[in-house]
Amino acid sequence: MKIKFMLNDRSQTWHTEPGESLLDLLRRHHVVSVKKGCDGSTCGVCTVLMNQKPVLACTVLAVRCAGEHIHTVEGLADEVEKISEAFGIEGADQCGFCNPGIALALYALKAEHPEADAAEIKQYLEGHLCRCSGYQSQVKAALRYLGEAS
Amino acid sequence: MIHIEQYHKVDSLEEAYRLLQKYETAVLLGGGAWIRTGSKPLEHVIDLKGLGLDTIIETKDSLSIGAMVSLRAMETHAGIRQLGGGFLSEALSQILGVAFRNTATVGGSIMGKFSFSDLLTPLLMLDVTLQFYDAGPMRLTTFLAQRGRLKDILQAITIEKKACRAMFKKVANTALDFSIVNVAVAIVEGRYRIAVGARPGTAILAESVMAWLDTVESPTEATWKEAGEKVVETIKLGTNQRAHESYRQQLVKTYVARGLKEVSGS
Ligand SMILES: Cc1cc2nc3c(=O)[nH]c(=O)nc-3n(C[C@H](O)[C@H](O)[C@H](O)COP(=O)(O)OP(=O)(O)OC[C@H]3O[C@@H](n4cnc5c(N)ncnc54)[C@H](O)[C@@H]3O)c2cc1C
Ligand code: FES
Ligand code: FES
Repeated sequence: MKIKFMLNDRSQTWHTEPGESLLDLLRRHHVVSVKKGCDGSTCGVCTVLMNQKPVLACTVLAVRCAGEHIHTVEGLADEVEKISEAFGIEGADQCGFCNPGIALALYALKAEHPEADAAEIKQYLEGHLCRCSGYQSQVKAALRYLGEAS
Repeated sequence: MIHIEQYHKVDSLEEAYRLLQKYETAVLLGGGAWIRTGSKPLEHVIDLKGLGLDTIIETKDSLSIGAMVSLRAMETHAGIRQLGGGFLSEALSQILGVAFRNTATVGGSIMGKFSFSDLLTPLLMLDVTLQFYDAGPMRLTTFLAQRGRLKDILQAITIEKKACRAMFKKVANTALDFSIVNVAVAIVEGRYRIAVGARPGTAILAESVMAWLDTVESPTEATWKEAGEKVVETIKLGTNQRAHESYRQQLVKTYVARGLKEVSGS
């Protein structure tokens, strides 16, 4: 079956199978910033924005994206640049595997709750596993990003 | 990738219900987060998206939450946040991460009757009615007590607003784990409620202990402790790979007593 949807503000019509996840669909089309980790809803590395809200691409069926707006870090370059800068300064960026997912979560957090404090950031990032950072530096980077944005 | 032989995009609830009855193996698609975890091929999947089941309607006396409302939309709704001091939002916020809760739905979470559910246990603190397409209204407690699969479409749940103080406790190894056990305690219009979930069986009310507590005239710290002990005597707790029965008993005793202390303000 074919589905038509907006990917990073451009219309796409792609073939999919009813059981295919959005994650597999995107990666088949070389949108590889969206990582495949657990493929089971528990690591957060496959996070994308669906109508500006973070969702797990491994958990959403691709058919469900017909008519919707999907954003990945490729489509939010300016804002992601600011997040990367904050990550760099705070040392939150090590192997980088978790970063696209966390960057999109922070983008959504800024829209939802720009005054979030450290505890609220930590709670919002629950579900994003990082094997390298120990999480403290990511919370600091998030505070820096939200602080600079406001 | 899960294997779906036929995906049905329908235009109405009537059509969804007709297909559900027509095909013995038909499955309704809520958020799809749980369905995805299965390994068996699915013959007929009926999508409930786009049928108007994704709104929350608040009136003076009640909240009606559509079955396709996401767990996150429920958690962040101002009316839900006000119920019983926000315990329901607090419980929902402990189910995986925000991105997951933006997909998983209220309907899928109730119809799954998941034994580990962090939604069913706190919902038992409230007067909740499920609205089914064919069966009409049904109390949550009646639904939970039923055995077997109900081949119907859950359209919405209605929560009656009542004066309530409540707490919910999830015990899990990490924030992303299933509950080892969970406990909800409330005082609703002056009467006690206690529920235990992930026993590892599905959430259940400790009705005899609730009735006993209602008869105690001046409860003290000792009453809360006794209530915790009575709960583990009357509610079946068991052993599975997450915890031993005796560990669950200790947890339930402790959190029931603490919860009663907290909600009673003593
Ligand atoms: C990895 C993982 C971890 C989880 N951890 C937790 C946790 O810690 N705590 C917790 O409480 N929950 C947890 N859950 C469960 C989760 O919160 C949801 O309850 C679950 O995903 C079902 O919601 P869904 O919308 O995805 O339902 P679906 O997967 O779409 O459906 C689940 C079932 O309900 C049926 N159904 C769906 N909607 C309706 C309807 N309107 N009417 C009739 N039948 C319907 C489906 O046919 C299916 O049988 C977890 C789930 C996963 C996948
Ligand atoms: S790959 Fe989607 S949550 Fe891990
Ligand atoms: S930086 Fe390596 S997983 Fe997060």
